[in-house]
Amino acid sequence: MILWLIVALVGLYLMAPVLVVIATSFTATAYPVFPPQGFTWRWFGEVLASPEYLAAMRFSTALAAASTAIATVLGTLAALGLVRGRFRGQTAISALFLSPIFFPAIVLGLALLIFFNWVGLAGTFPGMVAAHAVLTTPFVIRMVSASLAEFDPAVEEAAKNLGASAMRTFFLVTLPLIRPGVVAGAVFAFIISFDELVVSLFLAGPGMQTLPIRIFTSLEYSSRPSVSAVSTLLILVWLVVGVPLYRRFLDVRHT
Amino acid sequence: MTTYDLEMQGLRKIYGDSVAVDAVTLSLGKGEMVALLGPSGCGKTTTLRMVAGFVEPSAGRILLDGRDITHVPANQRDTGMVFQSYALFPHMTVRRNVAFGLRCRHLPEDEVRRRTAEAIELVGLGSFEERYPRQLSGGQQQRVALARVLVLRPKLLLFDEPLSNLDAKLRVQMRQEIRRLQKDVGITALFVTHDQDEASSIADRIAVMNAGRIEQAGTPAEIYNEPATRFVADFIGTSNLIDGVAETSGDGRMTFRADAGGVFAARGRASTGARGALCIRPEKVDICPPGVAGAREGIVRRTARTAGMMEYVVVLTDGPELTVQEQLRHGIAPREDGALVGVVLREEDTQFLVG
Ligand SMILES: Nc1ncnc2c1ncn2[C@@H]1O[C@H](COP(=O)(O)OP(=O)(O)O)[C@@H](O)[C@H]1O
Ligand SMILES: [Mg+2]
Repeated sequence: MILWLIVALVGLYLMAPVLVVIATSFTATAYPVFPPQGFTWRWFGEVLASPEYLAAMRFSTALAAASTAIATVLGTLAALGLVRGRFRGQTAISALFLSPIFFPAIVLGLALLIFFNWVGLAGTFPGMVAAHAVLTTPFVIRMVSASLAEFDPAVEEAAKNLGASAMRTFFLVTLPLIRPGVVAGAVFAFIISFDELVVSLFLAGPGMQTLPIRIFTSLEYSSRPSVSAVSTLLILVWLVVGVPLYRRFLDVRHT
Repeated sequence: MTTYDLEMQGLRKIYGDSVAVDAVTLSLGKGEMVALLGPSGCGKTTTLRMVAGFVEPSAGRILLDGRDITHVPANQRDTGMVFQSYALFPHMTVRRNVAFGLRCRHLPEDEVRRRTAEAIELVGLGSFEERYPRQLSGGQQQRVALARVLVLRPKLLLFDEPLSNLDAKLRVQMRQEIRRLQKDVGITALFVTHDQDEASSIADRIAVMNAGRIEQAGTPAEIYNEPATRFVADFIGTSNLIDGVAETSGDGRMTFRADAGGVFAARGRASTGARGALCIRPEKVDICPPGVAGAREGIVRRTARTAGMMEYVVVLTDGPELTVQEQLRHGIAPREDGALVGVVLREEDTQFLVG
């Protein structure tokens, strides 16, 4: 009973921000307040009618999709090399590949800005994609490494022994078996990229607004409940897209 | 035209500064099943994996049906390997597991279907075609692994301790089944195991390995009755090993002086003064009342009863100790501790081993 109460309290504590945001997006006042006063759909209408918000959503989706594609391919290949390969300094290289996870985002943003200025990628879409891929590849490596470490390498040898080429072995045996890790890595990469603010702020060129940048800047100038409405929409999207993916690929294996 | 299917010539594998496999030379005749037998870590798996193409030899050659395959990639060697962990594809049904190799060979779909069904039938899994490996017992998974390689009719079958994950009863049953299948299809096979019973019951010949080397290769009876080295005598069955030196020798017969005392006649060749040991199997020693002509005398020191058998340690009056086994029959009372007994050692059952 006590345990149940503790779980409920911790749950409430963790969920509170989400609940507050959802609640305030229905307030009838002209600024976000909690508890909300009155009820209106108006802010959702405002968001969906706002060219800035829609453009930012499209931009963030494109950015996340492109960087996720790159991160998934690079991360999967890197994980294969790190787990299956036998070479000197493997542990050190492994740690190096995962290090962007632990760098402060602000340091990465600054470093990328300086570097991209030098190579002429600063303020460009490809630059943003590359930067986001740097941020998200380590997550793919982690996820794929975990599923690689889990399966018996003899299975790959068996495929070779039965006459399969390296390509055939990879696509018919290895990839299906690490698919949960690859998909989980890709979902993570997408979420992280979509949510990323700091590095994007450093690198975004004029007219390049990601959704987090858009939300951030609209809070700077005016504070309207439409910010809450956009956040509620985001939560809704994750409930519809993220949760089924999570259940399919992170919970149950090989069904 | 070669009479051998598989020839390993001077195979070596060196990891860093340790030698895993040291100059292994072994030939397998057509249709022959040879067991590679030895203690854990002696290099059996490494040898097998060199033949399969998963380990690059440091030196030596591998010939399959007369063709040098030493540097041929694993997927072009035409060997069929059954792994200790079975290594089935967990995301494929039994049918797709078995069809995998045929599909790699781009055979027509109706041939793939027919041969797959035949192979699954051959191992008695006809009603399990659509199951996934995790829905099968260990023994059934083992059969799928067998069907998966047999369906390809490879030139060579390779087994790496395939039965070690099964329970004792199933292990004995699968042994016989593997042997029957192998003889039916007539494919040459190399079978790695650390279990001497398994090796003796499954193989035509046994190659005993120790520390990266093959110490002796021969039929199970040869290995047991005429061990070539002290290691083989000790590893296969139980042996009395009595240390000493050779005295006179000639004509394959010799006399031997034990360090503990006593002179013995034995089979073997050695120059006078060569150090070595006599190998005597406990069940080949006869125990009799004291005073029988030609028998040595000794005192029973320890007795132990096993199923249907008594085992004694007899200290010979000459000095050495012998473990002796005696079948328990009606009317024979077990010997008492401390009893004086006669012991008959036949020259043909007493073998000199150098080292
Ligand atoms: N990849 C490897 N790297 C280093 N040493 C190895 C490797 N594989 C095997 N060995 C060593 O080679 C020896 C023989 O191993 P193995 O062939 O697996 O023996 P067995 O199968 O007879 O138990 C062992 O000492 C083992 O530690
Ligand atoms: Mg082994």
